[in-house]
Amino acid sequence: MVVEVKVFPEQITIENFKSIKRVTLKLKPGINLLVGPNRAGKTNILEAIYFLSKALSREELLRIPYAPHLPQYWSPEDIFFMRNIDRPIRFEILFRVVARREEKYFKHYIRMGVAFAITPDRSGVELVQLILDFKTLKLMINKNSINILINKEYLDTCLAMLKEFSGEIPSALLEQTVNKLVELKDHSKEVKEEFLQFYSMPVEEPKIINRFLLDPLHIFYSIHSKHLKHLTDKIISPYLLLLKRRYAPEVAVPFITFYEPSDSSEFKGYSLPKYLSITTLFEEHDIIPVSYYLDDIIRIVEDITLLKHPDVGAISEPQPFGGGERLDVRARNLPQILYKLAAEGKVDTIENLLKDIFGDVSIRLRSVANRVFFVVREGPIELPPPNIADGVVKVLAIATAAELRPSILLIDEIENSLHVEAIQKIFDFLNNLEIPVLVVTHSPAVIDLIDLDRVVIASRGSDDSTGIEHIENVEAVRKRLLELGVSHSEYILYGKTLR
Amino acid sequence: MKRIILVEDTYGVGFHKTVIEKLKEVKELDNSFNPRIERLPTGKCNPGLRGKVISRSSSENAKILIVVDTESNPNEVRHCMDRIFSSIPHNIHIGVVLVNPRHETWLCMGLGGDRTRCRQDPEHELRKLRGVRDYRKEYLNKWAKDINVHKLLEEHDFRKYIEVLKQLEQDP
Repeated sequence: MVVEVKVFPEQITIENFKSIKRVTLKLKPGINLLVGPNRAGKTNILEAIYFLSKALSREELLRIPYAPHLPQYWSPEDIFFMRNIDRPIRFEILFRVVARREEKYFKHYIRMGVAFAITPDRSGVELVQLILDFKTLKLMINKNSINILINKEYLDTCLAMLKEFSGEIPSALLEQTVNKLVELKDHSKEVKEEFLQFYSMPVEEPKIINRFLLDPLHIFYSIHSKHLKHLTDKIISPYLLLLKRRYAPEVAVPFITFYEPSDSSEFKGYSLPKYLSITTLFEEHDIIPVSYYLDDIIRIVEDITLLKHPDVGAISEPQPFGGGERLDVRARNLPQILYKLAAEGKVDTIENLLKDIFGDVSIRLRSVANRVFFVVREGPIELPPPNIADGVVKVLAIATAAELRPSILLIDEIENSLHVEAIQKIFDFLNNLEIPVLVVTHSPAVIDLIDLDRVVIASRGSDDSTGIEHIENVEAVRKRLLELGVSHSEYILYGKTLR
Repeated sequence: MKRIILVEDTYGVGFHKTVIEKLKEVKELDNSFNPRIERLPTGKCNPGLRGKVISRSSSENAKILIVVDTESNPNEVRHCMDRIFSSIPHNIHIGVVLVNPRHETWLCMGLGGDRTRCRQDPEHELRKLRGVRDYRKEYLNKWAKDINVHKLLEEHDFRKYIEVLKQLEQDP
């Protein structure tokens, strides 16, 4: 039996980043448009999400010194709201995790929170908090402590679950965990908070959050009950997290995930191929295994891609082999990435889009003296890199970014260099991706292609901070515009975004 | 005389090209019929559609067929179309065909899917028919070549489509 899992970032909150005091974006699969006047902070929203991705990337976490603000921002203070370094930059992403087993769908949610502050010597930024909230359990790693909180609603289920684990972990450890849960249960009626502190331990380890992100199993490892079936009438997936002795006295933490019923319309997003192998371990069980490792969540954030207008000059130059796995923000390493994709036989979608938009146009990858470049064939004519039309490069960059299977694709000013016909085809291509594609635009042609419920309007508020607005009562607005004969782009550009 | 068919997205363009060729093969349409098929320049219920459609033929006579999905809201989509094209120049004739709930239904039935299930959840039925993990919009275009149009000829919305296509191929 195969269980497939897709993860979709439904909501992203950004706090204290550049012009952004606090915004919350609600995302849908396909295109989500970000529209607003110049200086509203649209690009800052894209840059914030990209900063988070870069800051949690393996490459950046391994870099010494850790400096995720470089090279885009010359000073770490530049990325703080109003350059006020007293308030940390915070992000929160709500992930919808949907599992499909045969034709049944189940879902649960994970909320990830990350905070960055300026380093004590003010030379850079550092990770100061990571929160993974699974609704039943909240893992909170601060700069100097590891904390585990349990939702009081699930204390009884946790206790029942531990009985299943008897014999699988040392009895002293099990007894200690049971005692703690009983103590919390007795205490739970007196407190209003949803989560109760199950465990808190100071950690004398520099950059503990970075270490956790690089390898969560370095700090925790998990065991799955070999015998457990349904504990309640809901489908659950029980694990036991064990904190490793290196950091603290060993502790066993009941870790349960409840799955609600879902359907095929929600089975969209970033695929986790790893699940296919893990699930075979547990196929005898009549449950959906948790199957995700904590680092999957981190990798999803790492796979966010930002694309600004391509640097055509840099792309025209032959480049050495290599160039990394990620497409550069200005697509400067496009020849290198395309070369790799061609070697893996993954350029069909890119070529098809190119043909669909420009007719008899195709690309050829070339290498000379250990350098790679691409040429474009227009019928019988072969165009060297400097002669390739900017629109062709733009389409190639967008299609390549999508082919790299990002978890979120961010595109700034998509319309540049593109005729309306090309925009329509790119729009359809992106709008049919399962991941969210957050697109900044000033183009009426782009706005008119999209449903109003996918438009996010950015503006500067009275305190000069960036605010956003999702259009409410879309049905009523649509009806009114129909009565008035006003196009959606006219409504957005002249009715909602003029100062 | 310009003859244009406007459909909802890029994948629909290829789908209709293939279906029209198949309708020529079964003699429902004349072999010389060769309309332009394009994507709608805006969303289907966007009043901006009117100006963009009319500008495709500012002086020349034109017959334009718009084929859109109802997404199970036929009355709403019909109302939109009626409202948007309530006043158009005399040189332009516009026909609208609604596909219920969407084009995948025609694809599904044309490929031999169960009629009821193709109307209810065509993507699910298509996945089963073709043995793919997930349905992707590009399959609308790719799989159109395998459609048997005979399986669609009794469908009300498809009959209406053929009827308007016949009007489109007539002169004037």
